[in-house]
Amino acid sequence: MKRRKFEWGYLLLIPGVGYIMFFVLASLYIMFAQSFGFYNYTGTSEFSLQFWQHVFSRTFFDDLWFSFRTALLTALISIIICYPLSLILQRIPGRKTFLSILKIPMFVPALVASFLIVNIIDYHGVINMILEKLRLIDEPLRLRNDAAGIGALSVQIWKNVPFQMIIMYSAIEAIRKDVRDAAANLGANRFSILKEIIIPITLPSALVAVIMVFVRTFNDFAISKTAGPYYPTSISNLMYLHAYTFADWNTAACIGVMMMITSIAFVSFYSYLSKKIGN
Amino acid sequence: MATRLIVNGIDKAFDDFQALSNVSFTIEPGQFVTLLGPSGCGKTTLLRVIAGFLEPDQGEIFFGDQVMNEVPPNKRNTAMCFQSYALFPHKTVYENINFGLRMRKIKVEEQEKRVREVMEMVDLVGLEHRKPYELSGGQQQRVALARAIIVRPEILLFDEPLSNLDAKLREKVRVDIRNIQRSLGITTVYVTHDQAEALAISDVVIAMNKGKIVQKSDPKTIYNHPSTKFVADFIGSANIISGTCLEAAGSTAVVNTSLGILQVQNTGLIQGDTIFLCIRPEDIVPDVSENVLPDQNVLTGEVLNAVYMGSSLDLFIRMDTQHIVRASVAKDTWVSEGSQIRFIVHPDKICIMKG
Amino acid sequence: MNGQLIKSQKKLTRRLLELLLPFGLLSIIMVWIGLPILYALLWSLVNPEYPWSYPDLFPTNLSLFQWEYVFKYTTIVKSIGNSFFLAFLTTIACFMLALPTAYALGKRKLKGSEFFKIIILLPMVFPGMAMGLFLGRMLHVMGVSGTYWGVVIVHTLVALPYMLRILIVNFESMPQDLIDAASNLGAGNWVKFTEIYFPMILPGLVAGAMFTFITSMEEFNLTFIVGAPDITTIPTVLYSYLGENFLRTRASVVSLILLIPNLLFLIVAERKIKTEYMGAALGKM
Repeated sequence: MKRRKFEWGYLLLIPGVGYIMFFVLASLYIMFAQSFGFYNYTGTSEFSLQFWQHVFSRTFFDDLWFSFRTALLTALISIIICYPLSLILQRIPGRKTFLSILKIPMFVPALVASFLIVNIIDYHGVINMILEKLRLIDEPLRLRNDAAGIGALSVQIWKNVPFQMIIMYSAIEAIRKDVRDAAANLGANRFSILKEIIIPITLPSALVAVIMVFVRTFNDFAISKTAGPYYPTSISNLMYLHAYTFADWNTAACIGVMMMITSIAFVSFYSYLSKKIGN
Repeated sequence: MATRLIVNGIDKAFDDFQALSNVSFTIEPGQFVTLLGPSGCGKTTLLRVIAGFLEPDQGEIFFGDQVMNEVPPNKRNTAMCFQSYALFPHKTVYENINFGLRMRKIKVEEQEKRVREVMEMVDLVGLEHRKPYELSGGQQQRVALARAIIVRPEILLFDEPLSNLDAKLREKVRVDIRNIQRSLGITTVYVTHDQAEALAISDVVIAMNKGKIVQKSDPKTIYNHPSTKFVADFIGSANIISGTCLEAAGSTAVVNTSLGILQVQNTGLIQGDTIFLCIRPEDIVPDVSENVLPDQNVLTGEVLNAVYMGSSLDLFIRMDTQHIVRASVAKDTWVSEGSQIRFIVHPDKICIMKG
Repeated sequence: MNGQLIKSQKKLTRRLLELLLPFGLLSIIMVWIGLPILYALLWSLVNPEYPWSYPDLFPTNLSLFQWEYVFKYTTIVKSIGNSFFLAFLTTIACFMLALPTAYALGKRKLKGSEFFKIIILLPMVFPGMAMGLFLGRMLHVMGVSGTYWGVVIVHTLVALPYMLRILIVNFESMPQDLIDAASNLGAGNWVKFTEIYFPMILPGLVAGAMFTFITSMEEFNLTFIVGAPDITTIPTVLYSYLGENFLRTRASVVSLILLIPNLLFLIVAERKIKTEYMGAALGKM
């Protein structure tokens, strides 16, 4: 009988994978348990569905809609900006410099980005001043913490365009020049090359870009708290309020569970689609 | 209804690098022409100029009697097989082959008929719905070929199409390409750096070096009568020897070379000319008969190495002048390394080149 | 010839377009990126004795008053110190934890390594505030809430995936031939580590350390939940100046303080860090 050798490599996983698993699974466990009434800090702990029954309030749906709408608009508007920009950038001398400058917002922390944009779109911000000087508006527009959420949306787009830009730029760059030449050689004009070659090949990357930005924006707390409207706020903020302001951790846990499920759903939707579309 | 291709005085520079200078030639309708040369000689640049991907700085390209310079690539009726195949990765075999027909707005029934015909021709039937990454290298190559010929181009262009295949397959595919081209009668320009491929496949070989055409001849002539040292050296293997003409009278001339005194054919030499001689290794014949004809060149040397090549035996022979000559002799010749050898070179087999 | 003329005219228009298009694009990008930063800078230099308001596009008088004020009368100096101290500890912790695991996943062909690579992504997918709240609760129970330990634990959790992914890519791209050659020439484990492995993971290590450092510097959600109110970092201070009690001048000073390390990082990253590490860190799933 040959004795199976123990693979010592698995022990090496403990510091990295183990650390992550321990803390993530522990928080997940607490979150799930609390959403069903267990593991309370005060009072009794017992199984209960009442928190799930009461979580779906008017505020919840308003905030959910706000987060969802902001995330969707951010992802879509950013990709609409990114696609043509990446195409143009491919053909421009000095594109490396352009790309480096464009990357800046990606490295700006969310809160700083929020301030930078809020500062120029504020009631006395430079955008309002210029619009007034041009006599396009009679009095300054309220764009910070505005009810429509334009402030938060602007910050998100500013921060996420570079991120999508990098994905789209490298996707387009990765198309071999030969392939484009072959299409031209077979009679495709510029529009046909775009429609038949570039867009279909880069579609999976565009999907990655859209879904990643969507998930990030959907889960955002800081930007919508600082630049977004006072009501409705983000779903993250609602969860925070339940936990800290109302000390209702169970409802907060229900919201957390739903956010987690949404994130996972989108990420698996993405991997399913990318497997179907890509190779 | 094949087209004549005329390349007239083409210049093309990339920044400081002169890729093509004053390149001119004509390809007759239906001819299969190879552009042969080392990498960087401008052959691919020329092909891309013909296809319209590059604009020449000077000169014109004619298809028949039409100037093509201002015509964009998608409006030129050429079809190109790329070195990388350049198959559309997201399209199936069928969609790849059909692409050119769709761009030309051919009727759908007609498209289906032609795709079927071409797929039979290149032996791809049954693979219609595969994606390129599911195919072997040889199959990908055939899709690229099918995609090109289906549009019935005026000029068919090949950019080293076989360089990604293994040696065995390469030999088979080049015969296939030749047969298909012949049956369709399309004027063809084929770029390669593989001299054996060029000789095997072409009607005409155009040898290029440093952006210029060095020689344009049929394969036999270019091999047997290279016009320059470069061509002699690049195509096949050759012993290239410098020499001075001692005497030129009648049909023969006598040349003093580093191998010794040689008799050669008189191609209008004058006494005192400095020339280069090219002797192909297979034209060096070992002499065992002992009876020497007066008009033969008989030489002796020491066999340094005898290398068994399978189909032949290659000898590296050191002459008294220390010059080393390569000879390719019948595989069953018995020679031992270190022994002296006597060999014959017929004057007809010595090719004379100017510097 | 007429044709020649048309041709040269066409060429001229194309040249002109080739010049104008980049210039136009550059100006748009400059406004897009530069304007917000410029105005933050201007606001941080406003002299309170000459208030800046409509209709002036630029402040009439500049001074360093706001910077002096923020440094003298707020807790910013302590927060800056905290931020750097925490980032430093987090980087060391991430390196120690990531090195053995990255080696195991990148170099040893372990069964199920694909699965473990997905596990590593979890902190990147977990909604930030949800993880903050419930992990925060757990750390509270453990008694490390509001301490440096607690904040280092959460920062490490957030930054570890970056370090791991970069080091895994690094280990994977290390040619086995080289290691075999060293063994073949008689190198023992210690020599192999110091002379082969370590020099070869150094670039990945530097890249990973920079990502970890920056991630820790800008982390807000978890610091806010776990650290506040005892441990303040630059982002939590900035947060207190934004939102309903919007303190524009102070927020601009703090924003710029937080922006400096990141922009420095970007400049270094653009020049030194290999694109595959950047790709790994940006989380191509």
